[in-house]
Amino acid sequence: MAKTTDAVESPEGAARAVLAPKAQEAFGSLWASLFYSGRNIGKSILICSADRGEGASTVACGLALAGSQAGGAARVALVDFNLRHPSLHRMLGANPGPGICQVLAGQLAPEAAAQRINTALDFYAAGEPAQCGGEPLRGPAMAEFLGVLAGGYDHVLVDAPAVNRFPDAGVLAAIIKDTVLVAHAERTPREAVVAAKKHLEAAQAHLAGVVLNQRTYPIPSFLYRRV
Amino acid sequence: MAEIYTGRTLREIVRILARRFVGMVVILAVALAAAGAATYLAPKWYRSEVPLLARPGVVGNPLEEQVSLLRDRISLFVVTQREIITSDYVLASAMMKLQRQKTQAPNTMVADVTTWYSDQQVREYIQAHSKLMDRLQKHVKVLTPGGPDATFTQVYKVRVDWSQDDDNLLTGGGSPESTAVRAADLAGAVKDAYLMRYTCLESQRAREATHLLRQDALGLARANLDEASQSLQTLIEGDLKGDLLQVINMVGGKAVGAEIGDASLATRFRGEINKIDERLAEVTALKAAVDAELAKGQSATLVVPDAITAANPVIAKLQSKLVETKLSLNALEPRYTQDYQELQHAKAELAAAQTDLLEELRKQSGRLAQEISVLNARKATLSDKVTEDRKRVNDLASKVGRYQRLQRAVDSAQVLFDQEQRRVMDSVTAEKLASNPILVSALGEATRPIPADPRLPILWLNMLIAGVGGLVLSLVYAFLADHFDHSIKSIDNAERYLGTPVLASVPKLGGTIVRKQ
Repeated sequence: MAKTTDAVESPEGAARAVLAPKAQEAFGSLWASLFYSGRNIGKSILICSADRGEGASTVACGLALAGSQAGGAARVALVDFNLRHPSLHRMLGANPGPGICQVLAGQLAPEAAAQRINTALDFYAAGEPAQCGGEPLRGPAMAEFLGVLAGGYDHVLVDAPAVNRFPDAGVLAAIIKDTVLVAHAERTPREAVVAAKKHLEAAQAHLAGVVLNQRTYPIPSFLYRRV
Repeated sequence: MAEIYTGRTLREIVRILARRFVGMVVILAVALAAAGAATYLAPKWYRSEVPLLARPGVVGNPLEEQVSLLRDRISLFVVTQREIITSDYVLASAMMKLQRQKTQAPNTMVADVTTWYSDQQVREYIQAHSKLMDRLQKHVKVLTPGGPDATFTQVYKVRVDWSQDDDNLLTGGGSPESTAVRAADLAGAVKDAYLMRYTCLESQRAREATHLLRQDALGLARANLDEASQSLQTLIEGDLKGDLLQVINMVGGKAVGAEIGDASLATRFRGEINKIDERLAEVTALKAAVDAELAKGQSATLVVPDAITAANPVIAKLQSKLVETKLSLNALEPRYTQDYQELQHAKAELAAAQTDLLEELRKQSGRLAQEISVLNARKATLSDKVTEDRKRVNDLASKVGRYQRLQRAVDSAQVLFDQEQRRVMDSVTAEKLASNPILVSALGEATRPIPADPRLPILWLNMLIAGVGGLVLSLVYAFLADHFDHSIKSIDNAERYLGTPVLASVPKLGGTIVRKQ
């Protein structure tokens, strides 16, 4: 799992999560590229990757934090739909549950699951998938829940499991449509990304674009300008 | 945004190189280090050289065209010396000399004909030390100056490059000092061995030349040949005059044997003689029988042999008449008395017939005697003929033998003469060479390499080669690695392979992304 160095279980959200300055810059530009560049993108965005460990959760987290701090005007929801390996709560220092598992199982109202990270950002944890039982992604409850979220926020960011591993992302993509594929630059084979793209397209998703994560710039800047 | 990134080949190349920069540097460094280490650890070796001078033995006042000839000869000679110097024979004898020098007290060794080894010993040494011979072949070189500066005399060098490794092979552990000394010793020994070998070969050739040049051997061979052909001629003209063709046929294996062969001749006449013999025996028996009957006289009744009765019709008629008369007499006798005329008449007739028969038998006996004498005569003639033919055949065979013997003598004399002639011709050349030999002498002793100053491989050259090789290798590595690395390395890459716009790149960020405040 990408950056989990701050995997401290913070109690009750005592500490406020903020992005590091460099990360703020990077995710800010991503936010701008997504929402201010005239792309035809709706309120909800599905953020997924071809395989595990490529940083889809990190990107979702960073994007949510950057978006919520950018102007402060827009209300952002970050939903951890990665029921297989939930990790967002650790990054944000939030509670692992209760979360969408309970919501989808009908045990909890959607509003009750929200955890406030800052003034503009609400976080919906994955909850305890073991406790919900069955297939939480099946059924009308999910579409309904997503509709509620889309109604309540300006931007809904949904973190999904690996596309090439689990069908969850496909199911989500069929509902959310707008998808961002995160690829670990210099690690993810392009064939894997192409396969993920095919999966998503099969689910009638609209692939907004690719985010190259963990990218390095091997050419020194003085040389880069000359070549 | 995407457009400006496409087709930046130079940037792509720089990116590939920059990305694998560390690996490339490592490869280059390893190559350089390996070359450096190999150069540094290479065995020390020492070089010793002996200059040798080749000059014509006779330089009088050569004519203009002979100058270039002489020069060519010397050049050619020097080149051919390489073969002698690097031959196993010279190297082995040098090695043997060196080894003996070591076992004996040093500096007592004098290069002397008597101290050298026999061919047999040298050959054994070569067989026993084939590995050493290979190494020596590699390390002993002959340098020939050649070129347009070559004059009547030419200096060429025997060079020995001897390394510590080689020394180890020889002695099992050597110091730089001993290796340096060994190089010089070896060069000196090779020089001595070569000079000895050269002198030996040269004197051998000169000896052969003078030995062969005595031409009386040729004269003798010529005389032998003449004599042999003369006697053959005499034989042909004399004894073989009539039978020459037949003799040549027989010698050539195309013998008309059936006509002259002893055995066939005998069988041809033998049958005839046998027949005559048979007939003779038969006739003799008949005559004896007839004579026996005749001896009995008129009184007794005559018994005529069947063979005669069958052969002679007169006798047969007489005999049948006799039987007839006897029968009629037998019929008359009981009827008539003695005096009866008819009886008398019959008796008289019988007597007459008997007389006739007797007469006829007598004649027959005479005829038989005649036949016997004829047969005997024929038999004698045939025997004579057989004897005569046998004699002739024997005669012919002995002639053929003589002819063959002489022919062989001529052939061998011819071969000898040819050999002799060739040798004389060779010896003329040899003598020409021997009269103007090329003298070889050493111009000095073998140079003594300084132990502290070994010849080392050229470090910078090796490093240069390793550097170029390492660079090529690292480039190959970088491009191959990039080729097989299918990750998305740049925006350019992503758009080319995915056909999807890249929204943004998140750089690799050190430390934590999310902080808690």
